[in-house]
Amino acid sequence: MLPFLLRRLSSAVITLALATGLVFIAIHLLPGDPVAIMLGDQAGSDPVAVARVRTQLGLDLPLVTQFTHWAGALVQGDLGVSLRTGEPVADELARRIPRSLELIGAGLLVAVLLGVPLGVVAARARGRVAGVAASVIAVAGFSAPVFVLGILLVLVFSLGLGWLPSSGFVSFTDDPLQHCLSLILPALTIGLNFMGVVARMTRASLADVMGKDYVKLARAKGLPRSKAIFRHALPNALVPVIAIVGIRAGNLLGGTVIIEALFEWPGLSSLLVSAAFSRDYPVIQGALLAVFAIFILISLVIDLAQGLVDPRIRRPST
Amino acid sequence: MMSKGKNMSMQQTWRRLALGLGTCALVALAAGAQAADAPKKGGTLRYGTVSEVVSLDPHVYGGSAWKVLIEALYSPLAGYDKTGAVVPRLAERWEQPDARSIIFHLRSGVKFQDGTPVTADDVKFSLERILDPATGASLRSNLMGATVSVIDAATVKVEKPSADATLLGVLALPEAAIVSRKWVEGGANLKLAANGTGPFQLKNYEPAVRASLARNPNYFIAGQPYLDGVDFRMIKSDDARVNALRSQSLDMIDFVPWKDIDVLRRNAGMKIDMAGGAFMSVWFNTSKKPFDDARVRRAVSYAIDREAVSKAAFFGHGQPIYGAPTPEDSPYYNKALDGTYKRDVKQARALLAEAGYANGIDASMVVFQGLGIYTTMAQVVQANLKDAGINLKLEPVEWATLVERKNRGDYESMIYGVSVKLPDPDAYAYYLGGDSSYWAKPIGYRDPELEKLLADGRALTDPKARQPIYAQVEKRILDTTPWAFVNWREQAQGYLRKVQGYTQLGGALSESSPGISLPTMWLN
Repeated sequence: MLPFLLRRLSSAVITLALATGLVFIAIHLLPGDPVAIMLGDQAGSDPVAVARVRTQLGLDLPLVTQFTHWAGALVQGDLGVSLRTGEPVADELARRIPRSLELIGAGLLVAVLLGVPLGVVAARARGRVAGVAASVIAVAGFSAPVFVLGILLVLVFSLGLGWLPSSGFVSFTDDPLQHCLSLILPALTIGLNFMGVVARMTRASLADVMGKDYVKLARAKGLPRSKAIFRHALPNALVPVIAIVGIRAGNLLGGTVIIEALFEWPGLSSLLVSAAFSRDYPVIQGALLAVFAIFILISLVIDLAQGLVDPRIRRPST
Repeated sequence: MMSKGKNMSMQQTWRRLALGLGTCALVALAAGAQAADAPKKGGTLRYGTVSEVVSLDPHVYGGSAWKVLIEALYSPLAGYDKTGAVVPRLAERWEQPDARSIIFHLRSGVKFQDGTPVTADDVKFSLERILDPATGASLRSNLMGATVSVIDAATVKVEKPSADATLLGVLALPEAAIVSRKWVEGGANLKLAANGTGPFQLKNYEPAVRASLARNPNYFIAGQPYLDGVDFRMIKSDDARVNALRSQSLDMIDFVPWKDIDVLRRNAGMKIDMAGGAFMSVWFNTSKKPFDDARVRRAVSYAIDREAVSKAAFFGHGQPIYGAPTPEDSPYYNKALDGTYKRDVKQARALLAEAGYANGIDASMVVFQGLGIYTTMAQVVQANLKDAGINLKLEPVEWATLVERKNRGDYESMIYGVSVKLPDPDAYAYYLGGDSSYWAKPIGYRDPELEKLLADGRALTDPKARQPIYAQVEKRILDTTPWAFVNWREQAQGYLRKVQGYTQLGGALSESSPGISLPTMWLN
């Protein structure tokens, strides 16, 4: 297990370093001047002011120098200071990452809790009414665009029934109940949207596994169908499901823009988008670095999880 | 251009001075009398804003919500009241010995939030901070050349090199906030923290997310503010903002989306107030073909169907501008010019032919792609111009690119939303003056005739004497059409009925309206 872990970690560090360099080059190649945007349309159109503020922020230095400064600080754990807000990037990330992880975690939990049973029903009841119904629900979930789904949920549960807040983030320490209530709708939106994929994956994988010899053997031994499914077939069928949930988690890190905007949930995605539009280089770099790092961490965890389920994955190469 | 009654002559200033502090009390009284009940103290107003406040630096404009926040946290020397008149703030009175200087007498006993007293030296420091290009202050160009001298601890003189009718009006804008020298020089991070003298104090702030304000118990206007606090929630998404108001988890929102204005208006529990605070225009690059010819620019202006733009892009809430962008309630409004550019495709074709383009022309237009009002307006204009034989190629870009191309003068034409910059017609000097880098400098535009008229207007303080000059200014602008003015962008605030004491102003004070009203707003 240890060499496997070391191999994975070293490749993770190399990936991260490469990604960091590429990000730096890419965002500095984009047209647009952070200072001209930051100063608004009055001072921002005054070349004297723009030049002076650029100098002050070190944006007039050669790109190579800017990169070595940034990378040098990064090695010491310093992500720099946001050009716009004057706040250390690390502080901003420390606030936003947990919110993103919480939202994504809750969303995926909904997807798995609803998707897996739906997939099992669809697999078991293939060709029958229940199976068709399960498939229809699954398809409906992932074919509705997230903003439509989100607005629909707001209309029903917030404006219609008045059970839940339409949007808004309340920090857990301020008001735990309100915090959880405001998490429900965005988590449901992510969950219902992704539930279909989980269900389809579960169904396909389970159908495949059910045909395998060991399940047939279990059935031949006289094990009831449900026991054969839940004890033998399902755990194995879930290996690809775990993988797809993990990948989705990584995608969602920077990909919940619409949901964060609609539900006013101040996570990593909305930070990335606004930083990108205003060319706040240190924030873009820091946030992307965090996304990469978490993504790599997640894939590491998936590999480990799958390795635990399936020892063959742990072997160096096949 | 400017809303009513803000252009004061020296005499008017004196009159106001004689009225003294009474003005504020009267306004508060009047606001109270309008409502059925007397103002109630207490409560927290929950306010949802479209723009994200990312910096609290009181001298660097950062969007409409920023303006309200800064006006709540800081105070300038003077300010505006709910009628748009200039009233005392940190200065309790002032005098204008001549047309280029003002002597301000500070109130005594006013302290910053951190307890240090406000002195004339802080005023000098603040205005010099605005003049320092390294600050990137929004009013630097307005105050350019000003000198600030401390007469004594409570008296300060601001002087411009030449007569400037706009000086008092500029110093009364929230962007002319007074900050503490000791606090700033002590290394405070002005982007993240606040230390002001405004009606409210900063309790909690997360950039781009929220700001919580609590009443300033030591505010220098006795009895204000009425509210205990204000919670700013920055909500970019139009749907989220409107839904939060409808579900009453907010009391008030700004920038009610145009599509929702009529819907929310029908809701008995809500009120919508709106006024034109910005106008949409087509900017031409007058140094490049084909728009180097005034006849071509005028042809464009004749070809645009402003009514259609208002209907398509603003759901009818974008009053067409057929003349110059001066609101009808302004003393500088020119009825004679209204209707100059009613749609006239024949006239447009004739002008093009006269300019040597009888067979039509091809041109391009840079358009911000991030907002529906821009893209929709561009499509309407494109179709309109086609009728006149102008083939417009649209170039959709994101904001950062648009700003860069505007500052480089790298465009043939572009759609630009101009927020009214000054409650004074001298704003034209900023828009179109040859020394202003806002639009003219990057493309090398300078119209000597316009320059002369603008200089004349700035040198006079009496509105009666200025009026005919600005009538000529507007005539000249419409004749040369460096910009084609299209329509007012009505900006609406929506709030629940229980919110009392709000007054919406137009023109340059449109964005400031919530900031001006906040100290005397209350919840029923």
